[in-house]
Amino acid sequence: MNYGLYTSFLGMRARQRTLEAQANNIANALTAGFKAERLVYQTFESEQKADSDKQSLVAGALAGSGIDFSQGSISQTGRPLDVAIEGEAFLQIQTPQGPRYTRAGNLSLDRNGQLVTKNGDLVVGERGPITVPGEGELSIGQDGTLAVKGQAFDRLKLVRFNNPASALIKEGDSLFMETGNEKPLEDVNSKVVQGSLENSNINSISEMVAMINNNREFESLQKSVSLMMNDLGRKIAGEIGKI
Amino acid sequence: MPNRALLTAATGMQVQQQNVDNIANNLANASTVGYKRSRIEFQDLMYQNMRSAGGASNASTNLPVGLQIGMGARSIATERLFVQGEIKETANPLDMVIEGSGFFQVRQSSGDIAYTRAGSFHLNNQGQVVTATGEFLEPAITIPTQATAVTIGQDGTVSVTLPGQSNAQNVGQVQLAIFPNPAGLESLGRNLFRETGASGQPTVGTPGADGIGQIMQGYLEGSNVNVVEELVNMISAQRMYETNSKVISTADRMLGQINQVVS
Repeated sequence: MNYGLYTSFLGMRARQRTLEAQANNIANALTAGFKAERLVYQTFESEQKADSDKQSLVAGALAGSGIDFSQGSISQTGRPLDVAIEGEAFLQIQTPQGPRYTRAGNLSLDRNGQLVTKNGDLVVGERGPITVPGEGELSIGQDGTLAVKGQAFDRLKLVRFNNPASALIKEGDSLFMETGNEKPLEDVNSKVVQGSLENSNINSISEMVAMINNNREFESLQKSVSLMMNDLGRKIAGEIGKI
Repeated sequence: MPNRALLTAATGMQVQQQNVDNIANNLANASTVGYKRSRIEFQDLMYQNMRSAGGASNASTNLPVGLQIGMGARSIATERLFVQGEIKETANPLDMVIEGSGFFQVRQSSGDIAYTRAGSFHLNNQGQVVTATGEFLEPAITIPTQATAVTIGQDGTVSVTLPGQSNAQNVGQVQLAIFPNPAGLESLGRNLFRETGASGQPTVGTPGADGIGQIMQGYLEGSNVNVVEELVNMISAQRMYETNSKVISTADRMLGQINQVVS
């Protein structure tokens, strides 16, 4: 087996995956509450031939994607149903498939006056779904307390995870789903900002730089594949020539 | 497959195109009375899970993170922002501003009720109060031809002063409608909105009561479009469009390099 070729192939495939993840990050640069996807490479060893001949293959193969949960910048919108979260908390959402979590605070009211996401899934408060009394403007406190005309009636349920990167995966629609690695904990340190939205945490400049870098790495690997192929071709031609 | 990156970047370009379309409409309506700006909102599309987080990597260890590749972005909503617009004095007695939430009710020629924030009303040839496009204010109000002054109170009471009379005479009452979810109303154009399943049922009431806004006579509500903000959004949309197109050219270059491997 030609390990060099295989190693380069793995490296090229990994960089294709990276470009796909970068494309998704860039496409979502203006998606509220979006968190960047970062691919991590991992070297891995091939089977050992023998103890004396400890040859191991090291390849830039892909291990996985990690979500970068760093805080996105916060823009003021002035819309009372927009909430941004400063800190590591998530809003809990009730979907037909079970609980989900989100950082996208562009909430709405449905026709029954219930607080919902843009997909119509219910936002969860301390006592389940939240129905907003209709006779006044909704005010949301820093701790998530919901009040109308100064009367508090519920509080947004804010949860956090010790290690969100392993506890959550993305589901699309700005929602995160539990992996089962960790149970959600109650969050007390985050601050809810009403009338604001959290932007994505994509930095388009660093994303572009990473993309160019990734492309150049891909190119180098392609060159090495070409060299090895030429080398291989010459060897084959030489061997056939001898016969 | 770099093809996926191509398709993902294409979704990115498409949402930015829609973003610019929406900004263009807001800017075009920057001087439209009662216009409420709309904001386009995005979401990420579905993800392909190539390795699941929490899956077993061998008998004793689990993968701490999985491998998920996203498929791009989509526009999910154009959210109309019912923030109060700028209030301008006009001194025209049939110009009204709603201070707070609520909509004027307008009866269209089809007989259906539509809702509007544009309070620039006029009189038709029979003295009825109508919009600039001739739809009747609901409930209907007729101003007597000989009236010398029209007064509309904060609670929507319409009274007129007739020649030779010292007491103003009540001729009608403006009523306003509020909705559980005004953002769910459908825009009909011509400054009008229509009730939908998402907006909920209107509650009609007297201005100033139960969360309904008050009426101010002689003023008009301008649009709530902030031109500077829209321009900043437009620049950022254009730049993101450009960045997405760079992803497409990068993906294309990578495909080209694959083709050079066997040359």
